[in-house]
Amino acid sequence: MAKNSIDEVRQSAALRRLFRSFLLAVLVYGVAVLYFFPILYMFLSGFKTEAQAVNPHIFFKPTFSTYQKVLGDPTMHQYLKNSLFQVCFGTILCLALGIPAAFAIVFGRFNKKETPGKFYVWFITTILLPPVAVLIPLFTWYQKFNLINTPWGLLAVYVGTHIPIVVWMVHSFFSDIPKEIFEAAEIDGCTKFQQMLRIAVPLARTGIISAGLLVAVFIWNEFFLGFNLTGNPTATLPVYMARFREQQGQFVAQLSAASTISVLPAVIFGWLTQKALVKGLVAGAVKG
Amino acid sequence: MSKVELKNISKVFPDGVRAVDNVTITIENEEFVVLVGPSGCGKSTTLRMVAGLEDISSGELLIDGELMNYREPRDRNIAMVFQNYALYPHMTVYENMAFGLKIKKIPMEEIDRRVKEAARILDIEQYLERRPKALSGGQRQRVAVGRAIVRQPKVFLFDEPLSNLDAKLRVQMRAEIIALHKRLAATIVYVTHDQVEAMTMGDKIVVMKDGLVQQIGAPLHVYHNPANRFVAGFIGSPPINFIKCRLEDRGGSLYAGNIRVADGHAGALRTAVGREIEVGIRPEDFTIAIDGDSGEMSGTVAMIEPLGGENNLHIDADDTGIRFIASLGADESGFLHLGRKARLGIKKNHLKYFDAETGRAFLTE
Ligand SMILES: Nc1ncnc2c1ncn2[C@@H]1O[C@H](COP(=O)(O)OP(=O)(O)O)[C@@H](O)[C@H]1O
Ligand SMILES: [Mg+2]
Repeated sequence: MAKNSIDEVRQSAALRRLFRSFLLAVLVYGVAVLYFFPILYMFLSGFKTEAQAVNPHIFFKPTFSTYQKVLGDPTMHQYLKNSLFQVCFGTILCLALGIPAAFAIVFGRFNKKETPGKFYVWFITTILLPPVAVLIPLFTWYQKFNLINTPWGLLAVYVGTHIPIVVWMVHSFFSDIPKEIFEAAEIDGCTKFQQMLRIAVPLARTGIISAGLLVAVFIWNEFFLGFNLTGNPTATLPVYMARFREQQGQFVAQLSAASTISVLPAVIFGWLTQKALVKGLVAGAVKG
Repeated sequence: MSKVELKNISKVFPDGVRAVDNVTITIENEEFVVLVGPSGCGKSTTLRMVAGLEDISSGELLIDGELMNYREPRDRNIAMVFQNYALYPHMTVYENMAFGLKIKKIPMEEIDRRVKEAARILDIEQYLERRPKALSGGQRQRVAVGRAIVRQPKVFLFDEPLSNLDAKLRVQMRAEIIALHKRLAATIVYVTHDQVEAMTMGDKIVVMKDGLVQQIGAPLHVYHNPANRFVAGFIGSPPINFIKCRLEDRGGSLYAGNIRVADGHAGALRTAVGREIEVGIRPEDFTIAIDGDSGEMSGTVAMIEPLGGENNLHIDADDTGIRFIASLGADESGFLHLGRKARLGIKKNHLKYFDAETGRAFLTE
């Protein structure tokens, strides 16, 4: 009798659990599809002819000609090269400058105890600053020094605006390393620089990789500053995309193909590194 | 040769805490010196100033006569073992030990020889390719010690290296560190809050409290001749018993409460007649009063801790009601069951006397 009723309770509990997880799954997939749909549609439209692309259809006979046309376009190549230049050098410079900054904030010796905290806050608040706020002064000074429409000028801006992200993420990883490990290294004969390179960097590997990827994706996607500080020969892909739409807005299929190419690296990066990225982003929060 | 001298060293932290106050210690070549004291007394800070991990606020630190105050840790030729091991998590055991030597650009064959030698001594040869994460606490601490050994430093610094180990392993590692000291003929400064560790390991112990050195001396000397009430209470387990009383002169003989002061002690105590004092009685300085003798103390047995060879008896004194502890041979005290009256004698030549106000010992040697 008692055994029977326990089984019944168990069964109904299991049923309820199953039902709940089913509902949750439907909800999660629903939201995912909703978010993913525009990207999917863009991806598919690249396989259409211009005639097909005018009408919103999901089912059609795919063609590679549009992608071929866009990929074969030499202007597209130029902008792709520009973007790759900004991403590669920008990311490397951000890491090369941001990691030592984070290291100094966490482990540096300062006369006053609150100094490193102040530096950190300044780095963080610049992340929150909208780019419009700095555009006007940047633009006038860049004009004065002939830096408008130069790859190095844009690179300098990208490095400056993305270092705080590196500092922010790497900082929280560095903070997790016990201080004694550096003291042991110091006694073992390491200079501060060696402590950073041989102890801190390998131990914060995950954080550094995810910071680097995040910066790479941000630079790859950046539009506003690129749009305002570059002209035709130096513009990056997102800027090219916008101009493409202005000039050839009627070519929906070509636009879709080009857009797909421009978001693809970000999607692949994100997908490959989602674990490291999530860990990097929440590291500070978990430690809290 | 490596002699370490701390001369009037103080440490004041930026927040105003005076963690170490005018400490003077001389550590002779090949000597094993233990800094011991309760948590927060400034032991680690003292050690870290020797290592160079903390700036010295005032005073001088000399190693082999050379002023070290402004040298970087890496230029002091010392090695340190930390309580939480502080191994490099991303390196294997071998790499952990070799790291300091690689930084110093010592030839690879020499590094290999030293690391293997240390691994053999510490019995960690089979773990050389493992990461610290895959080791037990005891093994990790061996690696930490190994990392210190391969450096062949002038001075070894240990900061509570055994505190994170379980009791049995602690005893074992204690013996190994003592053996290592003999084998390497090393100069060692060792910090612990555990007075048993201090007593068993040190050639010399430095008892600290509130940043001040209370007493320096050989362990047994400190045990038998504590400089003050604090040292007497801190060193020894079970702890010494204190009885507060007035020192009186009764017809030429000195009495501390009911206890007649030994003739050998009377001279030093005479100036304190009429003052409040505290008498310190080590648990092993009690004896069973025999037949006719009424004994010096009597009381009721409130608790018995049988240790096999001896019993620790917790006794409530009849006159004062104070609970004291007596360590007596299991055979001779076997008849003292719970609740029974006990009459005890005292080895008067072993008693310690302290000024009740300042805590200073009256008898000093
Ligand atoms: N970095 C620091 N800043 C301020 N006070 C400190 C610091 N480190 C230690 N102290 C203080 O100094 C005193 C001695 O600390 P410590 O040397 O670690 O003691 P022990 O090792 O004997 O337990 C303590 O009161 C501690 O709070
Ligand atoms: Mg300590």
